[in-house]
Amino acid sequence: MSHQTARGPVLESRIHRAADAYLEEFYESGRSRQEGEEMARVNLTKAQVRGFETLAKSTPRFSEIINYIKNQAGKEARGKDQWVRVAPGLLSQLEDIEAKAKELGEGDPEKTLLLKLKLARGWAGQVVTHYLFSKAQQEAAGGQQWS
Amino acid sequence: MELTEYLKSKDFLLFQDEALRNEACKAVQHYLKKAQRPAEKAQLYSIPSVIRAGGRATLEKLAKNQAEKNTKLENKAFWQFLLDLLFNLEPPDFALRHFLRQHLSNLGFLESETAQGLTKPEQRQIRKANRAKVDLVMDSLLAVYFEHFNCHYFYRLQ
Repeated sequence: MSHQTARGPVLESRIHRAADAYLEEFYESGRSRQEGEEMARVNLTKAQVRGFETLAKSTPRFSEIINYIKNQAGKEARGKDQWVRVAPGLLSQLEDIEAKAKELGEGDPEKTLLLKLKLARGWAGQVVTHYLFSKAQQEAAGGQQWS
Repeated sequence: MELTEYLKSKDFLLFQDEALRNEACKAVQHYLKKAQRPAEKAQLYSIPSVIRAGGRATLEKLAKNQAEKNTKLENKAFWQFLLDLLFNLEPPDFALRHFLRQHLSNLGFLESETAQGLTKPEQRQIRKANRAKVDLVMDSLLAVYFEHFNCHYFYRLQ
């Protein structure tokens, strides 16, 4: 099967700018921070979160990100409640991202596919950054307790 | 545009990414609503590798075999659902074939099987050609369809 290869020149710079502006708004809204902090709160490990980020940044298909989250939550052992707790929030944000990509894509399937990946990758970067920051704070607080 | 061209297009990729995903999720919801007891997740594990190894025909063989011989009733019912979803020649409303027929018809790839003035042999010929087109599309997207289906199933069953 062919893949959605991310090629730069297809998106006009005005669309790139609009997508970047959307990601900025998303960051400022605090929604990605909320998810990153929740990932730290439920004690997802750095390896788990890096796995998510790697998938988001390397996949040629947007829906693979959705499926990855569903799969992680779906295969989690009962009572572990890590991915299960963060999945609804992540999936809901991806839904919004997909809707925005469609809007910015102006009905052009190639642009829409590229925008979906661009926005999802930018968003995943935000979530992971907030997770790492939150995790570092947790570790520092834990370290202080022991010292 | 020829159908083979469409299958290589960005339109088709977008279709697999969105409409097909929604359809697979709908199929899971439909199954879970009807099932008295859902099949174990493990029943689905083999589906992707079976599709990779032998495509639609091998999946049909597996589904038939499981629908007949699985020792648990809920698992048998699941495989019967899959047979209806994918291989029933009189596709029910929730069948993938039904959805693909509609999609291809909207894009103008299928000829009318009931147009006035057609003789019986002509109707048969058109029906056969349309079926071959739906089969071709189904073969092209079955792996992605089951990625959507399985992940949603696992998620909903959690």
